[in-house]
Amino acid sequence: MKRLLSLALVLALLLSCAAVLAEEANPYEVDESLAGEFTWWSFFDQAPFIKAEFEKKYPNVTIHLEVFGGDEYQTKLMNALPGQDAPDLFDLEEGYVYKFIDSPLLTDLEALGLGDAVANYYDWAVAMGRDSNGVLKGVCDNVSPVAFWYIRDAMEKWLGTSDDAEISAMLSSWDAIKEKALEIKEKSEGTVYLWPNLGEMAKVVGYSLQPLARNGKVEIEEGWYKLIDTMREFNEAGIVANLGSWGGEWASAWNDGTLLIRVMPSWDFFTDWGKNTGNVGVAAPFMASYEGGTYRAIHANSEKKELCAKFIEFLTTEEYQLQNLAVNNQMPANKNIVNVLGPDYTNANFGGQNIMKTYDTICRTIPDIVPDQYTRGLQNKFSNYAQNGVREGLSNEDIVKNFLNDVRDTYPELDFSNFN
Amino acid sequence: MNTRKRQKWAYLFIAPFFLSFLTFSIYPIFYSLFISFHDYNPLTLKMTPVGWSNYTRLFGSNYFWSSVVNTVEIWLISIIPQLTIALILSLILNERWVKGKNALRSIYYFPNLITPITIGMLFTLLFGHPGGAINNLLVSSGLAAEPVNFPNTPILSKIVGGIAICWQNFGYNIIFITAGLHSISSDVYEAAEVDGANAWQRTTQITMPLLRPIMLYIMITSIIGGLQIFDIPKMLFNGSNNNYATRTMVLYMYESAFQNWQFGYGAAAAYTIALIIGAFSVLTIVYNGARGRERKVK
Repeated sequence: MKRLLSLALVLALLLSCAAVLAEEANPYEVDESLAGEFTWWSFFDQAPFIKAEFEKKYPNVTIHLEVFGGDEYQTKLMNALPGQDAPDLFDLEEGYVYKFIDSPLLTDLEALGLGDAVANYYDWAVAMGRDSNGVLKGVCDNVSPVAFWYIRDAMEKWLGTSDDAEISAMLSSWDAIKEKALEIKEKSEGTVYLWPNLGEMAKVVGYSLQPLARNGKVEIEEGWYKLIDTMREFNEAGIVANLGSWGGEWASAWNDGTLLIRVMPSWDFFTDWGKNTGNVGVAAPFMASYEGGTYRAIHANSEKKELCAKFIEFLTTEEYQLQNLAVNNQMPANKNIVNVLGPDYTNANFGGQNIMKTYDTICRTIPDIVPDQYTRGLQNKFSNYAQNGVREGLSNEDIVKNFLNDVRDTYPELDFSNFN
Repeated sequence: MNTRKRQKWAYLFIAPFFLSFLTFSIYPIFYSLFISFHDYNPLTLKMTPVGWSNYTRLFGSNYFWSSVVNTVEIWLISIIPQLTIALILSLILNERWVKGKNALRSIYYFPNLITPITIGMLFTLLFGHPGGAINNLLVSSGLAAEPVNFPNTPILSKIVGGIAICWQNFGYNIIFITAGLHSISSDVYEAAEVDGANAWQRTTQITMPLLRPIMLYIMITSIIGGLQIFDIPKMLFNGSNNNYATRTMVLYMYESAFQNWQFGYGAAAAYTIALIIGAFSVLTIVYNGARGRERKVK
């Protein structure tokens, strides 16, 4: 009897193992010919997923991955790169990729044959990985288009639709947004807001306006002044919720449906999926923009350059990027994927919306502006001075003056001759 | 073993400490001084001599000087209530009739065990706008008609920073003041009682003057520590406090060096900060010394 029982237990165990193995079918064609090991440093919490995917395809390659959280990653990397203990491969975030990109410690990736791998990428996504001489030194695997994120039920209730195209059409200018925001505020008696804060206005226009410093010279085009005017209008009309982006109140108000829009990139992690699975939508804003991006670079002194290049190449493939979309909702950088998936693609998390189509529309309209080390930093400073200045009742001239004083203090090497 | 031989062994035993002290403390101090006269690119390890230009830029920077003023303001906002509360509680806890003294001292010390990063986040949540706990309380109790914008009102954000630092450190100071109180001989109090001194007179005429050395120690250490405040202001209202009201001088140095990668400039700021802290410490010692002499003359 005991033997029979033991045999039954062993059989049950084997069957459950087989079931698990069957469930986790390898989506890649295994290649055992590639072998070796390399070190990879990242700040990205999805790096273990990427490593696991690569090792499914190349089981004989060992990646020594180290993930460092927080802002201090770039400081650690900066100190390590010139030394002997530098990683073979490392990640750079959009916020500081330009601090590193001109360094001779980064390898020319086109020389390693990766030029073809990014041939189908969105142009601006490739441009971010090029140094000031146009040499490709960093490659991403996903892009971060900025969209209007909304809760479908709440939008149905207050705007009468949850269709992304209709929402985009309704919110197709600042005037249209202002009108709807006033309407909603009135109808809800001030309990529901359409727009979260003044800062997210800058996120919409950020990459449609010329950078605030071009070729080392500070220039402020008319659009930036218009942005301040629009912020002032919104502030005076009392139609912004004044909930700081990325804050707990901002996230919970949106998840509860009392804040209708958040301007966030495709990697947004503030959605309460437990509560809102299938109830989320993303609409294309009237100006195209992006926020964030993870670029992979290879150390110039690494002896594992070819192996690292193979890793980066794997991340550019359609099969990997499709998997990353399915598991992590990460928007592929390869623009062919929208065609591979076809017009019938839907995403259950987003209420059956074809998010690829929405994101692709945004990605294809992002202006051809190549940022540099000052672009993001100056945008953030300008946005902060504009928001505070508007709240304090300052004139445009005073806001710009305060902004310029700060920029002069932080980046004295820039040319300010336009403002003397 | 003769004295000379014993000395050799002694040097050998203290060598590990001095080696690590030279490597990790003395060398970086002098290396920073060297960097402060250079433009340093960490990725190419290139050092370009720039003479005094980092210092002239720093002395001409209104943002640096306003960060110095911010630091002093936040320090003053925190140190005055901190020492007052610590002194009053120490005196109360020193009385015989108070029960559970040790438990109370431990409770007061607890905030000092919390990391400054956590305290910064905690106070950001408490004083958040519009829906922080304090604002909810103010609005629901009718004390404020609408939420107070603590993060974006310079003086209020400094006060919040000061309260956070005070809350963290008053228990720490209680330990020192209590040690100071215990070091005062009971004979002095008994003699005063015999002479007819009441409790107030004993406190002001005996306790306070005899606590002077420990208070001087607390003042100097709090100046050195207080003028280096960094972590709580860094975390406080992070991302929403855009008015630089809580940007302290060490935070300015950190941003210059580690965010803007201007290491030469950051090193110049570090040396200037050291001089400022030194000057404040000397001023305190001189002031206390002068007051001590004044009392003796009286």
